[in-house]
Amino acid sequence: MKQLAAIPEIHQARLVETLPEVLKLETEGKTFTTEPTPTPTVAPPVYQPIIKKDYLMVELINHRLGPDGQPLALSILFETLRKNPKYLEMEGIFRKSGSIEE
Amino acid sequence: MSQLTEPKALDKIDEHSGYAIAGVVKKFFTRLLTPIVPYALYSHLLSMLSTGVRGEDEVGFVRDFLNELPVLNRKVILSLLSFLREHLVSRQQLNKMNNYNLSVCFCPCIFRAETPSLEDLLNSGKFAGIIHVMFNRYD
Repeated sequence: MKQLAAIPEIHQARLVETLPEVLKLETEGKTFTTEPTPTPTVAPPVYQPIIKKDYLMVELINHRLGPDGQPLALSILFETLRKNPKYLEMEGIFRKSGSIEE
Repeated sequence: MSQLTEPKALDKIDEHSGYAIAGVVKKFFTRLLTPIVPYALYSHLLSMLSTGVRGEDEVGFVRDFLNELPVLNRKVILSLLSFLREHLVSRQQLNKMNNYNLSVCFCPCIFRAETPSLEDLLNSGKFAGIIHVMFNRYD
């Protein structure tokens, strides 16, 4: 597995705020929340360890904000689980997930 | 930052642990600024549950709850339950995640109080029961 890149903390926070917008994409472009979309900004790099889970989330949202504009949402996560049966068979999946810090 | 906005970045998602991906699914719901069950409906449910719902009444109660949800919210909840039932519960011999366990795990993702109180905690089992009924009775 490749070494994960460090994500600037300030950028993580802003991206996490955009989660409702991800769901909006999932629901056929209709408005799900009235919260305004924060404008992503590039923060100066602050290197520090992060948990893999947050890296995943940041990567997901970044992808949505990427230049190709490809939508992402729960369906991407579902599809990832669906095409990896070994994940679906993991004992305690969804119950143990809260304690993953690698 | 350029590597984060790289469109191909998501291709690496499969390299991550299944537990981490499952965690992101749950975090997706818990981090929503507006919960999937709106606060007003949650408060209404809490008051209804406090008075007690029994037997077949549970099915009607859950049906009414679903009908009260905004259409898009209902679709998201039902698609989540459909996914869990089709892909997780069907493998419960391996993953040990049956309807009940998943109901408990996803309860905080679906039901959230605007201002948490002791009453929310005391009724958390009943909220999990709502999800359990949906698992068992929704077609």
